Amino acid sequence: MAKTRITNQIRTLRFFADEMSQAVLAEKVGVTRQTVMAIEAAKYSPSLELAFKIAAVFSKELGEVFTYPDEVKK
Amino acid sequence: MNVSNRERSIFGHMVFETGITVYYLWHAMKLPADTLLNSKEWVGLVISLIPIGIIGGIIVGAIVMGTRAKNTNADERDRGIESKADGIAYRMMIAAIALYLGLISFTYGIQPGFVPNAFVEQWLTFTITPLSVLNALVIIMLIAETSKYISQLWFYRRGY
Repeated sequence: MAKTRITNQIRTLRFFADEMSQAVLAEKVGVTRQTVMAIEAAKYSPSLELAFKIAAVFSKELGEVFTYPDEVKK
Repeated sequence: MNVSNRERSIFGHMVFETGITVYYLWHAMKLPADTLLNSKEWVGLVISLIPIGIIGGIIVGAIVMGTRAKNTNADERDRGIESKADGIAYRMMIAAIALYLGLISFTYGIQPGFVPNAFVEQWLTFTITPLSVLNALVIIMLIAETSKYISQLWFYRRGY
């Protein structure tokens, strides 16, 4: 199955958030670690609600965490 | 290979259900076609499934043992995958039912002698009895369930 076109900065943000583990992030946003792994690997596009929750954990705007390719936006 | 708890659980259930269904079919197919569903043979077969089910349940429990405590509730991805797998299982079930109805129509809707090829006539026609209908429904159920489990494993592994 093709990867989702939504890319994200979760891995980087986790690193700068005191090397937060996937398990901790998963617990904070109420999903399983496998789901966080799948999102990071761009194998799953989270719901809007989950995307907002993840952004809130890092105190970032949604667009700073998730991005969509420019050619699709046009 | 890194296998998640949920994948292990799905795989365990798939092996268990397939095993018990194949066991049933293996013995049910050996019974005469006109066996009644209240006969001693068929009831005995169904009763023999009970201890097998218990033992199988213990084995599946052992496969996923130690994972239950760590298992969290299904999240949106789990629910999405299950929903998509349910859709695939539904389509497989409809296709299998359509095939079965086609076989029934072929058998009883065609005048004897219409099928020119004796081989086709021999293999694509069958006798409809309560036992054969029940077995067909069990096979259809197995196809649908297995499709669901395989789809779930596929989506967990390849992305959804």
